[in-house]
Amino acid sequence: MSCHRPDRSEAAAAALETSEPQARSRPVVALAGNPNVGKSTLFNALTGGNQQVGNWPGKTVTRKSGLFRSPADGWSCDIVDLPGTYSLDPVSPEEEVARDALVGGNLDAVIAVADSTHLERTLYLVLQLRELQHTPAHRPFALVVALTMLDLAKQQGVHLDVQELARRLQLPVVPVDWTARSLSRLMQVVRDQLKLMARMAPRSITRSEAGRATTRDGDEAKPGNAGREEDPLVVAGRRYAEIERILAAVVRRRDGRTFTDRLDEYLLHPWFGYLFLGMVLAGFFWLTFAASSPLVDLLDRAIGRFGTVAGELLTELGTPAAAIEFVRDGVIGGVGAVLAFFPLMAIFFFLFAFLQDSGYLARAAFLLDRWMQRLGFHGRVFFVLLSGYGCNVPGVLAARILDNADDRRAAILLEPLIPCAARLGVMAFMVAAFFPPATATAVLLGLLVLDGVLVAVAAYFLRRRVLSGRQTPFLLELPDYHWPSLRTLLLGTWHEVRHFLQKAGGIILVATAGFWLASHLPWGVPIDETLAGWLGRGLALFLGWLGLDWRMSAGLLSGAIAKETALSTLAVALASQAGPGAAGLGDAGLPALLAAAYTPAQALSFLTIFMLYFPCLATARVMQQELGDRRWFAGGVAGSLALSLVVAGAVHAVASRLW
Amino acid sequence: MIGRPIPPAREGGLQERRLSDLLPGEQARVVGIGGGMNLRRRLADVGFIPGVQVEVVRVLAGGRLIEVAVRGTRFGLRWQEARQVRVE
Ligand SMILES: Nc1nc2c(ncn2[C@@H]2O[C@H](COP(=O)(O)OP(=O)(O)O)[C@@H](O)[C@H]2O)c(=O)[nH]1
Ligand SMILES: [Mg+2]
Repeated sequence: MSCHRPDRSEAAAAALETSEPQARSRPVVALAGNPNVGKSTLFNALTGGNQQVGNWPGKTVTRKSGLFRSPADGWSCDIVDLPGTYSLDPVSPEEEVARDALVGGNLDAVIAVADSTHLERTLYLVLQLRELQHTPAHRPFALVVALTMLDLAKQQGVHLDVQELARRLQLPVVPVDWTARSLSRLMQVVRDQLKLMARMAPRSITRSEAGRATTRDGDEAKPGNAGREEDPLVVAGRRYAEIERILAAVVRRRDGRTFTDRLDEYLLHPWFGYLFLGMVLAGFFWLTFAASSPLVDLLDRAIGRFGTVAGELLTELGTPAAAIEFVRDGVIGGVGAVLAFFPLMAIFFFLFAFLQDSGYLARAAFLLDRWMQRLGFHGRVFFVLLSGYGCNVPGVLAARILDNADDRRAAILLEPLIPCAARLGVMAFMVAAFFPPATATAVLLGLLVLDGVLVAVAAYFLRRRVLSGRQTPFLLELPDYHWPSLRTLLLGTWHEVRHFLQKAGGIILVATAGFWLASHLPWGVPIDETLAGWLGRGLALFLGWLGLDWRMSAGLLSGAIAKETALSTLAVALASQAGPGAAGLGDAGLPALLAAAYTPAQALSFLTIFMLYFPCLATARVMQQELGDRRWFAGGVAGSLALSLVVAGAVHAVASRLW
Repeated sequence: MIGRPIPPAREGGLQERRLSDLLPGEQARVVGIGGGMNLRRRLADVGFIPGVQVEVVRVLAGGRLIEVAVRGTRFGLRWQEARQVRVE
């Protein structure tokens, strides 16, 4: 797709931090446009792999910037991929970011990306940008229109007169067909505009063009500010009237039902649509978990092998046994705990991006809104919560698709209540140890249903009572279906996974190694005499009324770091007390040990707490980051902790009667 | 937002129609938009302005969800939002 070979300069992102445009070495060019018009595809094509992904300052909105370097003469500029927006009057954090960047006056050029199959709507932002360009008070910037989706327009029998469009818009318009030639042509036009702008004094630009462009009243000032006084229907009406005039001369279309129309007959069908949605969701989870588990196993074995080899090497070097064990089980084990996220996250984000880019995610949200609006949520929230069933981390990150700040906060706070795959594994194992198979299935299902009800109740409570801020108008674009480009999907997936590993990897590693030390020091004593043993004993003082002993408490402590370790910690604690003979016994003997040590009521009480009490460290880390505010995080954790204790108390009371 | 009085339409009649009243496949022309400033601006930005032709493509969930085509783009709306769009 791209022919240039940009060198890896880390300065690209730094350049954007400079607020003074004059102080920058390279011009900054932003990509602006409606959602789904091809901005990110263009961004990837222009910047290649040379991208920085981070957050906009103070916002949980992803910021992507990259370096473009001309293959011909090495001219370079920084490119920013702005979030999609319909207008310069924002209704969501994403749109706010786009507006602030565009109105802020820090850009040298803007490439307005317009979808040629939806020109009527996508030109609206172009007109707003043109008004902004001609606002006398605003710092001048170059504006170039890039037309995408030309292949689709052709398929739909739409004929476009690009030259006429440029003439009527009084803006340069470049068709982009994703060949290297059209991309370099686009950037050449941007360069020409920048040069032109530099030659003209800022004043003269505004004088000569402003009158013609802003229709009639010159006092239209800044869109997004002064527009507020005027009726939005009138302002928008004026812009659409101009668009209609322009398009009448530019577009000749053959009307007919498009591919999207025909597909939606089925995919949004009153019952087949829901059936298909069910299949998509099932397939989504099956692929995320079933397909990632062999990869996780493989990684697990590789790490285990690596640990063994490293241990042998250290032995030969004469390292003390305690240190070897620490390196092998604590440190290398911690690396394994971090890497275990990799396959799952990669597959999850790939599929998620596929659903989003293909246009289906919007339909799913529309279909699901049927139930979510009753809870006071947007339909997309359902998808976000569901994403947490695999692993809460992607669930929390998926909340970024929510426009409404309150929806987003509530969804993130609900996420730890959703039992992830690691928790489900522990729960299934424990339940099977205490009940015969048929009962075990029913008990596990019962726990999950209980959890589902709690999530719904908590959701209702949160959104109606705590985060009861205004609802964003529900207006969900159902974009045309697209076959997503593999390159965009892979790049996006890679950024998400890398971002997660950077943010959470270190803390997981340190905590895993730290807990290993806590459960082994002082060296040589049985686990109940170690630091972790004492901590467990302390915690058991508070949890005794729920039937939990110190071993279960120690399990909960390690589960707060990584859920799946709760069981192994419990197993070690049980085995050390069962005497030396039981020490080496693996999973095979564990159910018997468990059943001998606890009553079913105790087990259920433990599992209820375990299901609800605390997000694992990785989840906690991303929750903190995505919420942006410590108070929300602290409140959410306190809430789920309290909930887990109350519910476990009830479960313990009921279960003690039954069994 | 829902309980806010809706400014009278030009004809002012009681039997004025709303976008939410249209049947699947039915087309109409927008004559006005009620509701809060936020909703009006958002709808206007995507092209719901007096005079524009709209079509209800399909209705789901017993009328609570409505898919509308305007200017060649489809949008999913809730009944509450669609009710604010006056049509003829
Ligand atoms: N057929 C076709 N698909 C395109 C074109 N440009 C982008 N797409 C696809 O449209 C979808 C949305 O593009 P994306 O770049 O994510 O849009 P953004 O939301 O503006 O960043 C993706 O699946 C792209 O692969 C194009 O010119 N032709
Ligand atoms: Mg994008």
